[in-house]
Amino acid sequence: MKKILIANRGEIALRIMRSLRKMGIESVAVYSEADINSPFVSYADYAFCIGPPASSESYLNAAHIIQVALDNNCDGIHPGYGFLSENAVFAEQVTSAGIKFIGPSPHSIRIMGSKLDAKDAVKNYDIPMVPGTDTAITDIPEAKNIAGTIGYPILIKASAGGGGKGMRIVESEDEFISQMERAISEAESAFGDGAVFIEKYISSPRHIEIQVLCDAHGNAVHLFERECSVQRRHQKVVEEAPATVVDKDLRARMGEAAIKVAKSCNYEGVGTVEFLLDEDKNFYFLEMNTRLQVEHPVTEMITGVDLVEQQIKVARGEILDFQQKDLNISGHALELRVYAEDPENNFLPSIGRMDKYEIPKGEGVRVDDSFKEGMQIPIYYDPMIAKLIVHAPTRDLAIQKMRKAIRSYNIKGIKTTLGFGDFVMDSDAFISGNYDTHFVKKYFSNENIADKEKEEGRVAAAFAQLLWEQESAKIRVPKSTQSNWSKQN
Amino acid sequence: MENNTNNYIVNGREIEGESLEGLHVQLKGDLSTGHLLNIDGKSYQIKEAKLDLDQKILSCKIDSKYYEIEIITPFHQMIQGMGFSDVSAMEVNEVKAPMPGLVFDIMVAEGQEVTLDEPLMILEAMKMENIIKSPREGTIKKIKVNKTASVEKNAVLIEFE
Repeated sequence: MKKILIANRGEIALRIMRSLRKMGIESVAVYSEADINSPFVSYADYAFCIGPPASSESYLNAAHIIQVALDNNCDGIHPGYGFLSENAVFAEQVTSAGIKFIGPSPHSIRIMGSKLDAKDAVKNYDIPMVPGTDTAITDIPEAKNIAGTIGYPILIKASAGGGGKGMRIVESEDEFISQMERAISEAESAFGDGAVFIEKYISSPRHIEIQVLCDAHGNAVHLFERECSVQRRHQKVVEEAPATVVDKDLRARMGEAAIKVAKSCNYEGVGTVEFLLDEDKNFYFLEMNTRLQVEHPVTEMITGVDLVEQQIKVARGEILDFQQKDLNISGHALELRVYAEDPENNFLPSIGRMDKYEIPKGEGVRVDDSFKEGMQIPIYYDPMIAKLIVHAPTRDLAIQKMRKAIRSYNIKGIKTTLGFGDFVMDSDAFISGNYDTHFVKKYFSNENIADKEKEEGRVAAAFAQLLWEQESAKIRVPKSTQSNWSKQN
Repeated sequence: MENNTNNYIVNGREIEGESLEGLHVQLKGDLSTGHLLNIDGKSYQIKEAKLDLDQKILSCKIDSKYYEIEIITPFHQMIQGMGFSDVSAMEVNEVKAPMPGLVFDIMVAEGQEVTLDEPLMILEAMKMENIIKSPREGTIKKIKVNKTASVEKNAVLIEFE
């Protein structure tokens, strides 16, 4: 492969291009009018504007993107994450245009894209699943019977759902019917597909996922786990690898299960198998993400493997150049997603111009972003500004390094999740490693950040006071002199 | 208002001068070389300090974190106390966009009477729908934007009578 088009924007586009440049492959960026000044556009070897800001007219315009790739003789298209990355039709169109789609086959994407098909595919592989229905339920009385057998609380989930949409927790039998009706109608309006299934609700779950890597020749390895239990609105904010709760034995069992899931759909490339882990360390298969994940850098930091480079190698048809026994965990890595959001106001988007933008630097500190000072945060896309990743020999040292990095990440003009990250790194629950997906609900309140920043702000105020007294004294005419002078007149 | 100490707004948060009383503060260095600040035995590295005496704003980095500190003098506090600059006491006659976004839906019409917190419109930003609620009771005089319009931050959306 000599030239690859990146069908994405922002930090992930830039991150992919960095690996391409390292490998001597040319990069082609496509961008919307809103991203014309974004660093990923100027970094690319070639860049083409593909339309107006709205994603539907630019980053989701499959036909136009493929045409740009054809016009430029690209050998491959890398979809990044989000946008067209898990769109089986796009993968098919790319392939039939004679271009390599850097990712799994349309078949794998299709199976893992539907929760019910995924459940069906892994059925023969002895993968532990959360107790629940195998098929979509529409008959409400029958569903109620099944819910009774599983035992409350139960969870109703949309078959085509994702990102927390179309999910409902039912605490007791008497609210089942109304919740079920609402879940079906929600799924219909959000995904155009009213199919739902029900399962046992794990009350104190941890989100643990396994990174897998498979070549086109049947070889597969896992690159250990990531813990992503610190979430807000069912979306991840802080991730780490390895997970404090996973020991060697559990890691081996979860890794093996993840590889089986990948094999069940003839997977090729990098992918992530997500599990829920309950209080008794039982793990259950949730879903497989058939793409590069946002949080992939923590795995890269502890394994030393460049996952994008591996994706390209697999796409070129190469055999994996390492085996499971060659992989080791080195140290500990943490990632904080820096969102343009106000943690004190329910994590609502905070948009505007970045009047100041200064990133932390240092050994073991990595910032994946595509922003510069003075840039406007576009309103059309996900509010993630950057990913701040640190790597250190131990978890304690990684937490310390993260706190220092957060301090020297200076952003002015918009609110961000940096202060929230600092709160997490300083909380007893996170430091002890004993936390679950309810972390934000359990420990975080608006006052946490305000109190902390006020406490810190006292130092700044004390400095201002001292300096003010010093400097204003210099320009003030001393009163005694003045009165003496007036007396003499 | 028998207060003769400054108050401070540090990165947007108000800190009362009184809360600094009793702190043992020592400072070494000057504006050009950088400062070493010692408070109750703990030291802090201060860099890039810039004090604007007219605007009463100090910007600096303390242990690599950037701060902007507004100095509110007793005189300034007195003016505030007299209510001259108390915006909240004034009648709100306009609803402004709290963020840039796309007008996704408008739930009210001109001439309509609305109550406090009644949803007026939905502003879509970053794939999320944000409901703009009415800040007061009253009658809507004019709707200044159309559905699907893209608006800047602080753009006037609605005027009250």
